[in-house]
Amino acid sequence: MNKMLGKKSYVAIFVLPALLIFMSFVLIPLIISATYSLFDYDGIGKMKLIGLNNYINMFTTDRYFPKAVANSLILVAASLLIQLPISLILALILAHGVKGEKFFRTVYFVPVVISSMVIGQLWMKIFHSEYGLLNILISGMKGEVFDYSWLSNSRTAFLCTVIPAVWQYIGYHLLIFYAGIKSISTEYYEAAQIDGASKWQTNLRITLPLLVPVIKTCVIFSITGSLRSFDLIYVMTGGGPNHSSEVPATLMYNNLFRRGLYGYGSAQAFFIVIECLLFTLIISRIFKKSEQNAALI
Amino acid sequence: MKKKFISRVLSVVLSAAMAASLAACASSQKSEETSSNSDNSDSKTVQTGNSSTDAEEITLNVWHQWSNDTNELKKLYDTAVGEYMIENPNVKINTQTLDTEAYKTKISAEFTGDASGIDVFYYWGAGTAKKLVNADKLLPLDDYITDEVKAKLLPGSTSAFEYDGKTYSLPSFSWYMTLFCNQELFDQAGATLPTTYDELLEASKKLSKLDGITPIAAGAKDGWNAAFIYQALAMREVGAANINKMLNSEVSFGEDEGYKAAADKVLELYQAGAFGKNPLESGNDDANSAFITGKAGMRIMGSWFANQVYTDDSATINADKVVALKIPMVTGKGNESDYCGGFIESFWVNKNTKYAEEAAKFAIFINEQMGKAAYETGTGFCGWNEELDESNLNPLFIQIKGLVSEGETGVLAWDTSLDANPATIHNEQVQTLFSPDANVDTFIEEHEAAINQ
Repeated sequence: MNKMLGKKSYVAIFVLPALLIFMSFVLIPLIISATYSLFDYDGIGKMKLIGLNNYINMFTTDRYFPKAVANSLILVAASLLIQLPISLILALILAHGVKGEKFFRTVYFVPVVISSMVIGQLWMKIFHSEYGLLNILISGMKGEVFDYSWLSNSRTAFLCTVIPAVWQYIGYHLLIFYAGIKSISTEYYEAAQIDGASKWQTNLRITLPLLVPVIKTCVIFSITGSLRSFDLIYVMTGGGPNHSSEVPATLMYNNLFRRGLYGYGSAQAFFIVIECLLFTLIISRIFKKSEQNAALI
Repeated sequence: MKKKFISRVLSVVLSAAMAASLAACASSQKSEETSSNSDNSDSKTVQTGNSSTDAEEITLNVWHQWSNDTNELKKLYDTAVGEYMIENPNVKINTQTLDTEAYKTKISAEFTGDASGIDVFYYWGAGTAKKLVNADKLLPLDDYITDEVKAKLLPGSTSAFEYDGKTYSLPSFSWYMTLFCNQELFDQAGATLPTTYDELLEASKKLSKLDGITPIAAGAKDGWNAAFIYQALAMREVGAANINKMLNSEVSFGEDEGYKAAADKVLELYQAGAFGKNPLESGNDDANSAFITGKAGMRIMGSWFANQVYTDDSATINADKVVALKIPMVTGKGNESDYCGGFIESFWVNKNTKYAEEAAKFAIFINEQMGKAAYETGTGFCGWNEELDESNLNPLFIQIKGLVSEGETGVLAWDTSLDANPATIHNEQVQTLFSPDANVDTFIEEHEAAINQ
């Protein structure tokens, strides 16, 4: 087998199918979008080369795009500062043995399995002005009818989509953290126990440093996931009202499929790709040192 | 050595098999066919019996968006196609369908290339088809429209299908924007059926006092529903002829004060609670449902809604107590004969079709048949002078028919007349009028920027 893999021709043949799939479904469409992004193109008529104008327009004439980028950064911040810490803490608690560990693991994972469409509908019902759970609760506490419409008000609409977006993937990251913690050899903990370390100390000095590669993966997932988030927001507000809850992906969808601005939409799509790659690169850099430390232990 | 050779051959075969299975996946992506050819066997018998037809057999690929088997129009289409194939035994019609949104995407995607799998297809005229006309993708039908056909067309019914003096399609059926009123709720509230805007506002205020009743079900979560209400009032403020000039870029938006006045009126209605507290929370289906279950006093909708009032299983209101009215007048402005609606949907021919003559002939035939069929089932108004069977029409539709006969100048829905980009901006901007943050000046500025390019 080793002899076979040593030959370049064999490697080429075995890599070919995967490479073909990757090329035809990822690389080629990406290159096509990148090309379209340089044109003024409505999808059917003539294409007019306009260089980088689409990219310039995104930040100069488009009144909604900078706001959409800002919204997506809020989403990034919320998932880094709220989602991941909650997942990590829950994972630590679960991994060190709680009664009903398996049950909780499943419960937290349920939202990940449910389609975003369903989650969107669910939360729309929670935020509904007349029969929404939230307003019923507030009405009960205030003792008078409270019928604020959370999702159709530009002040609160985006915030109301951030909450389910953060909530939905807690279980996902929890499971990754949980698996990471479980794979740490128990020898370390036994040694620490003999030395008289407290639970808090073992978590801080053993689990977290050894978990760094896993944390890095989760951070990358959650950042790129937030930057290209689309489905939940599309279902719940569609970017409205008056573009207040827009993120780059909803704007892109609108431009591509509703307004027939193929060139401009492609430029936005390509921007999202570049943005995600850039963040991945930065995160990898930041984690490089602590990852090396983890490998040394 | 031999072993090595065998393993080499094996690996080549293996990878070839993988590549082949990939290719197979790609080809099986082609959409499923739903052949409507129920009378295939009949047409064959006719052909053998008719010795004079030795013309070569051709297949026309036809696309439309009535994909649901319960859709009345789909059944009527299938029947018409069956008849056509009996009369034209050398032509086989191969029909494929998709749901509206998927359908629009499919047609756009196909026409990015030369749409070789499409000969005749259902589409919307005016601004929607303009993109295809500009890209030279559609076949003008002028050479195929006989005098006999011309004589049957209703005057003014072809305007949405004409570009630069050429006719690309013929009308099938039209729609008419109607104010539907629930007489029972009006009686309860002590309100009178509105004929002017002031009466509409007054009635809304009275209806809003009824418990759990929304005066006008707006469905504003769907942009086009919100836009209908603005378009209705703008039609009365500015006049249909002026709006048509604006939509055709002959005059600019905002030149007439009426555009702003109409926006002010929508806002005034919103602030008076005419659309309920949070109109942006419910869309078209919610609003339809609110009306037919007696939770809303009025609904401004196309004539197609009349059918739903009568046939929807969930309807609980007394359909005979629903009154169809014209859009209320703005006192001192406009003509009463102006209306919103017209001919927009029909069948078109791909310029790249191999069988231009047969495709054009079929397109003309099916437009006429669908126009007839739509009328006879109470879905729309036929664009052809024909003897029509009115026995199945519901009373509400007959009321609307009366209104249609008084109409002279019509305005199509703006989002079908404008290009895709300004159309989207228009719908979005009207939605902003249904919220506490509404700003009429911004509304006008955004429209001017989008439409007056």
